[in-house]
Amino acid sequence: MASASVIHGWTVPPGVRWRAWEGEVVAFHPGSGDTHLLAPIAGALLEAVASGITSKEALLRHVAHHLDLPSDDALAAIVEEALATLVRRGLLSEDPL
Amino acid sequence: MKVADLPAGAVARRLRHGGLDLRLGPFIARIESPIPAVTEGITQLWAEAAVVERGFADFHVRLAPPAGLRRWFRPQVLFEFDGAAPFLPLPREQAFAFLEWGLNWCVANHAHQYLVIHAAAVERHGGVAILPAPPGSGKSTLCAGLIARGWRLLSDELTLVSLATGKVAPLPRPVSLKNESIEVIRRFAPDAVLSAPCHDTTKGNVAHMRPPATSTARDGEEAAAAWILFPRFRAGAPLELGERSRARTFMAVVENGFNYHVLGGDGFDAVATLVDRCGCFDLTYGDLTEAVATMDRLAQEQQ
Amino acid sequence: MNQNSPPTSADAPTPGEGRRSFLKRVAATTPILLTVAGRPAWATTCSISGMLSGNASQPGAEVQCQGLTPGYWRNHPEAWPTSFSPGTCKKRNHGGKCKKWRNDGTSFADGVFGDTDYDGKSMMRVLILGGNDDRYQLGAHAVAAVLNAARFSVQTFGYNVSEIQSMYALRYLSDPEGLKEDLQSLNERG
Repeated sequence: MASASVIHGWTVPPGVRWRAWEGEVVAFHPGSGDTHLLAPIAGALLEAVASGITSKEALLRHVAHHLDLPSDDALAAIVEEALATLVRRGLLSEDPL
Repeated sequence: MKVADLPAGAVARRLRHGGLDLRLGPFIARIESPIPAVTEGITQLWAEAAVVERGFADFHVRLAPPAGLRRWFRPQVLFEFDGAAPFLPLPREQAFAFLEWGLNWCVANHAHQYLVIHAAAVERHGGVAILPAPPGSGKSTLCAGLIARGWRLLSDELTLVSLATGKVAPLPRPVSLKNESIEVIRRFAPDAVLSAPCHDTTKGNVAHMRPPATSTARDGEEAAAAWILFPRFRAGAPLELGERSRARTFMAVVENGFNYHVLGGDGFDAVATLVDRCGCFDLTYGDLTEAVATMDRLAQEQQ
Repeated sequence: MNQNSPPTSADAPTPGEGRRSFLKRVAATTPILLTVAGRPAWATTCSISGMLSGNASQPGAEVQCQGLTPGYWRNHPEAWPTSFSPGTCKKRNHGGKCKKWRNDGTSFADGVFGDTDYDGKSMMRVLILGGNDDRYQLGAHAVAAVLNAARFSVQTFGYNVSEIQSMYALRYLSDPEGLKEDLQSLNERG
């Protein structure tokens, strides 16, 4: 888990594939062979990281803007959980910047 | 030359000695069997299938009584593939159904130049409708109804999507029907050729419908996928055609994929390309005539 | 196998619901809506058998590929493979079925994995836990998977006992839900 003093960013690991249709995202993890249907926020995060947005603040701003949601603590908590889930499933990789 | 063109007795003779080589869509199957039910099934339901001169075969299959002491009260049949028996024996009267089922298994496990989906595929005006569905959803009944009304059968059970071209390759074989569907199709298509029902103690009756001669004759013609449609039969229900999101269609195709996991990332890409190209729908129906009319309209609209 | 459920109200705004409240409501759902787990290539043999089975076997005869559910193992203590014991019964109902099991059967620690939070319960006692004590029903499916691996050959079930135990040990903390889904798909192939 990230410690408070180290800044982390996210990347999409090589081999992960994904596609988006009308705001819904499906993603494939090559190691496990698992295929996932992502909820809107998780999908938006994956697309954002894939497009080069790596820091938590920028991801939060992106999601808030993209889904037209207030950028508040509630959203931040949801984004944090979604990022952790995506990392656990191997769809995102969390690295110290 | 078709099976129907072989001289009397030739089918039985070849099955007993050396094997009968038949074209199965893109594959060649060599079939051996001393069991009369297999001869009858092939003669009746595979009448239009192309006989191939002996040479290379993709699958060598044999249906025969199991070797060794007969410990069982009722006679049995064993399916062998390339000399090995992947399945336990079944009652001998199910030998032809076992052949159909076993060949599906062979294709599903050895056709990795295709994405193989558990779905029916039928074509109209150049567009293929792919109908994925778990057993009991009415997929085969709808499939049988459509081919009785002019749709071309590409497959009742296994849809083959070429990884190279993205098109659907035909594998036209008898359509399997269960229980009430047998009667429904007899009434809907009195001219259809159906095998005698095979009584199965746990799932009821199973019969097979011969595909139209034109479907078998065109078994070398791939066609472009146009719709992915999930049928659901509900007795007495009004017809409902609703759109399903592409992402959810994607997941359902993956769930119904036989070799998706073998193909890895290429499998993912193949499903994505397919979903991109197709209109995606749910179809609930209670009346076969209505369902066929709806699909005809869908096919007309895309022309 | 996971169910691909038909579109629910979570997928579209209800009439009159603004986009913001719809998204807020949707945001509360779990990040991953549906997973179709990958399988090793050879495991497709058994899942294909099940999917293609247009003709079923005779009662008493088995199809080649098998997996039995937690419910089955709970109700058929007499069928447990000999290396695992369900324990002794404290109280039976009128039909002869066991209503209360003593904790003297093979422990979950011995049969599945030692370092988990099941309070020294036996495998049978874990099988009968409710959702509050056995999150995701992971314990129940792990017990069933071990029994299946012992009961059936590797060709039939797909894994042997130590492979199930390793699978459990490696994933029960990091991905309990995914692990449970995979075990469930193996167990539900009868």
